Amino acid sequence: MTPSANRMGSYGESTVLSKEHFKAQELLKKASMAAAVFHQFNQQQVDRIVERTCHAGFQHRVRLAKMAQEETGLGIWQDKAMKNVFATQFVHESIRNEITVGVVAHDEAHGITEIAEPMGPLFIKVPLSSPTATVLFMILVALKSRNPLLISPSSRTLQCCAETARVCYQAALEAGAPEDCIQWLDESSREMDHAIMAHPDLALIVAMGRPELIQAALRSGTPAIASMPGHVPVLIDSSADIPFAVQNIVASKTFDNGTLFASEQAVVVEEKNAAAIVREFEKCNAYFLKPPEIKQLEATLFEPDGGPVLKPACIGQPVETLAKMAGITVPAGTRLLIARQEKIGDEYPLSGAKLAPVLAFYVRPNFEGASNLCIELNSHGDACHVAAIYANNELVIQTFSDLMKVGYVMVNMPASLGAIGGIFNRLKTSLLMSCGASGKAITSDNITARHLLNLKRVYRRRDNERWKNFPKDNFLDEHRTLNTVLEEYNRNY
Amino acid sequence: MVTSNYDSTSHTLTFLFSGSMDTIQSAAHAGAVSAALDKAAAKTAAPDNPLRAVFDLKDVNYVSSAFFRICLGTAKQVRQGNFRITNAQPAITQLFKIAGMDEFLAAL
Repeated sequence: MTPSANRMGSYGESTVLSKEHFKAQELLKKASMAAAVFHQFNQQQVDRIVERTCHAGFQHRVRLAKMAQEETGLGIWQDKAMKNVFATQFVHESIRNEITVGVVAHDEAHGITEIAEPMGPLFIKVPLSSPTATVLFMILVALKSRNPLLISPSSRTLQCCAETARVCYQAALEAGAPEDCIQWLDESSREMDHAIMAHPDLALIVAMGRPELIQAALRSGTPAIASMPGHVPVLIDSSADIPFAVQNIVASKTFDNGTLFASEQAVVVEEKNAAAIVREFEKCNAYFLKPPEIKQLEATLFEPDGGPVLKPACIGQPVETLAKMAGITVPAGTRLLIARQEKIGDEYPLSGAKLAPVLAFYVRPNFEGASNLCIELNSHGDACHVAAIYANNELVIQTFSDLMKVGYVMVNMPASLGAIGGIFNRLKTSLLMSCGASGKAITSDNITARHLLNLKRVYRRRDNERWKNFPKDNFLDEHRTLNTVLEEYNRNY
Repeated sequence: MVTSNYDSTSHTLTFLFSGSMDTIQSAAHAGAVSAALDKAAAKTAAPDNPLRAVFDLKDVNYVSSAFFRICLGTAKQVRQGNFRITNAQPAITQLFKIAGMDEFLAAL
């Protein structure tokens, strides 16, 4: 054992504690004290803190967006500013009137009362793609649910995350929030993240991003909400309004250079409409790559033996940068690169998730073929949370919805912005979509303050009269079948 | 508000707090608590009879982070195991548990 290390049973018999574990201990100690103080706050106090914090975050939305774009070198600052708007104004509007303290529901007839309690310290690993918006969002929902928050930025988001957290923390403190209700790490360290995630005082992990991180969170022994980029197929049915569909897809896939986890990854069309759809994409400044250019782009975007994982340097880059990196000449003003594909799999990396303005394009003979391909695309990868369809035939929409094994089916709307909620649909606005069972998550839902509460239920006595009046010997008589028991059990009921 | 009482037989300094131990109140009491501990500690330096500190929280209805820090500071100032919290209301007891400071709660 080194002089700075120690052994502690709670981490396991043979675990030697490192300096990261002691730092984690210190952070969790402060967070636990904040949790205790927060526990005493009433709804009015909480709502005032959330409102003031929201105003502060909104006030700095543009500056923080520019910081994020500058520090990460990816995305578009104007779109990042919009994400900051969604994370503050829209999220606040969606949670403002929610009861998150004390009794949230009471059913006199059934004798059940639900009481909301905070979970305890939360930990968020912030993704590279939406750092400031994610921090703004998590702070608001954590404060609303009276949970302290520990923020761990990635190495390329240290400054913008720290500044976002500082702005919000200051506003929250001025509104009366407990000290240390928001803490952030000033360096990025995998060991530190692991030490925090495994700490027994941590209540919940929010893990967003790489599959390795999600796996580490799920293995930590602490409950986790996981979110990662998905293989999102979008089917343009023959009943679709083609110009409308294409314009929406282009707007969605190019938003912040394709960095939203729910952004479209592959367009699937029926043969009879393919030519019209290609023309419409070209009208919207999309460029269909020629076969040799597809090879060049693949070699640029993906490691030779790294599987279908985008190189970090290519995430969220504009088309002109990607084209230049790949040595491809594209027409001026090109917004989106499209690669025609036939097959799916690791050997066809463009068939997978690409957090960049690059789409795969598949043509199939009919709706059945196109649907089958969407099922394949969706299930190939780590998360299949979203599928999208453009159609004006209700039967087609229903069939597609039944077929897709996803948490979200987006109909006639941009998938990426649709999943945020509150813009194109009535989903709760959230910067965190849980991937569902396919992404090793317990729920497929837009995560918001209510998911960060422990709901305590108080059950008052309400006797089951049938049980009370039914002679129990009937259950012990082996000659009685369920039908004969039920006949008597339910008599006069 | 806080009053203190020193028992020379058991070498125990008991602080009786009342009301809301919010940030302002806690800050106001922190210095007095520390000074009283120093003064009591000076009365006897016998290693077999260390100073004990007790916080009686019978009349406390709110605690802040600053008050938790007074508790941690006091626990550090007296020797290991010689700081106790007594008579806390159940709601306050629960907060010490949430804060991970239940080691200081006197056995119920």
